[in-house]
Amino acid sequence: MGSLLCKAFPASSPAGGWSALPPELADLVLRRLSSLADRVRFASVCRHWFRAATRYSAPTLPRPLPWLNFHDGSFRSLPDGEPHSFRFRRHAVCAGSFGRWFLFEEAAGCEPSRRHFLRHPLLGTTKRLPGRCNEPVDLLNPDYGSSHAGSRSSSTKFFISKVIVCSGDLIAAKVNYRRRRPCTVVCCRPGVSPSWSTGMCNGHWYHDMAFYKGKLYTVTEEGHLFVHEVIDNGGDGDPRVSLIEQAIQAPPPSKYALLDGPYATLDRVRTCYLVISCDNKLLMVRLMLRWTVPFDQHGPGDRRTKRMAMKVFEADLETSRWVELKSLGDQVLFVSSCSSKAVRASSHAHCRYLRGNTIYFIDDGLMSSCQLCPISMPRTCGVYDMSSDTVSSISLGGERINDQLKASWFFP
Amino acid sequence: MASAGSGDEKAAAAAMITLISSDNEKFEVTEATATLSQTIRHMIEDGCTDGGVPLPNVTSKILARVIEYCKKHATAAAGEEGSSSSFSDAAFLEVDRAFLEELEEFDDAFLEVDRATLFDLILAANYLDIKGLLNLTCQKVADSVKGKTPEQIREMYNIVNDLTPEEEAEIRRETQWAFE
Repeated sequence: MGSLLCKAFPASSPAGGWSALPPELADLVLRRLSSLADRVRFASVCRHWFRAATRYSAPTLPRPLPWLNFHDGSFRSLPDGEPHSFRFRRHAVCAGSFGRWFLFEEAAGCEPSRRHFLRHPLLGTTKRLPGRCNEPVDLLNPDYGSSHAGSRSSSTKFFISKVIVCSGDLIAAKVNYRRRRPCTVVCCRPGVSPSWSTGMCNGHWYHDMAFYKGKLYTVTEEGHLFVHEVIDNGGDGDPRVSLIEQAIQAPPPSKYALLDGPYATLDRVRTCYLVISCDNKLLMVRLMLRWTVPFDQHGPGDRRTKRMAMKVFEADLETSRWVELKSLGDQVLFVSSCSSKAVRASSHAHCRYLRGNTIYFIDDGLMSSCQLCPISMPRTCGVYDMSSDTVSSISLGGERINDQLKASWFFP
Repeated sequence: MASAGSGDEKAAAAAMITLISSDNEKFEVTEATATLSQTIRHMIEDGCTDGGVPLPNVTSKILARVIEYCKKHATAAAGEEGSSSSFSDAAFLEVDRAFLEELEEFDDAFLEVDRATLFDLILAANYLDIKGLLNLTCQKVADSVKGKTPEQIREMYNIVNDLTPEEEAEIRRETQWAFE
């Protein structure tokens, strides 16, 4: 009987004390650290803890909570609000963060072309992107393309609004070939492709893009979902998008989207984000902002009441329908136009920060969409509680942050 | 509370188990207290606790603390079970909240120990498989290292930095941002 209990590990206080904390117990501590910086510093204490963190825990540890990226090299991590900074290369402008990657634009000496590259700030690795983009095929006006067949011009004047690293050697981007022109989806092999692939333009503005089950999906601000087939023959030739099809029609407008009488067209902002859920479903988050202006202009209180609503839909690709989700359950969605992610509140339960069934949104595009509005500026970030349909401020280190922050999510 | 239990449960609650520490001190505890430890629960189920349970990995000092924790939490668990049958829902919630608050206060006071004792408690909780105590103690360690530099953590836990200068340089090179 005694032998049964003698098996585990040596009697209490083994030589080495805390540094000899067995890896499975160091792991229990690490799992309670939701901030990447805390994990890194824990791992740098001694050799034992380093090995426990890198060899024992790393494969199964839940990803740390995201950071707020202020686009100038400065960041703050959730939940503690600890500031971090990276030194960016001189003459390089950070054009956004996408998942774990930053997109930089660099003036290339006296050449007129801009050079783009992606950088993983935590690993310090870089992927060079093509500086040129082929003129897209206009699907609405196919005759236009045929006369130029084979001699399609390429340009350095294009704008990347989102980048997705699909795999080590396949990168997709949502680009506008010229300003105020609808966007297209293009791809390249980093460091190899001389130019982004030829995009196809169907006249739609895509607000967001996601890589899901080997295909690229885009969504318009109304909620129309398009699927883009990618042809990638490994090292054989450059990857390209071969087909665009509408996968799902936008869901019918909900009552929140309908405004009354003379204000029907006054001020309404809609935005859609694509997120892959924790159980690998494609979700669309639809954000709607509206302002109600009561008919009685002399009534008491604030005449202009801001209203915001968020709805979540799951893509049923079999039946080509959006299915509205009334609850996210244990999930927390972090959404921004650069990148979005779903996290389980239970895997960070010990930090008592996240609540399930909530959406953390941050999008300074909401500000510019509202510039024409004759009324006060909307919030650009907050926590939307799906169970009560209410919005509250994001708190960092116990303090509420400014509701009109210009930032996006970075997922270390 | 006990009025709700059947005859068998009463007998089980009254049954005493003897735990023997590494330095041969004997502790008499109720089965309800002892079975917070999954390790001891399995031994009871296998019927091999006659003559006491030797715990050669746990000193009497630590075992006394562990038993203190188990007694409190076993009482709380029994109180919750009993109250559900004899109180209305609202009253039950009230009692429940009071229990939880009292338990939290107990836990906070229980963790007011030196680092060496905390370490031994973690090892004992793991070895005896007492989930609540393991969570509590690991959370205490996690909370204590948050926002601290490696040097501060080493000092706090009396750890010697045995990383070679090369290893340390490598860690720093990849994660300099975490130290600024």
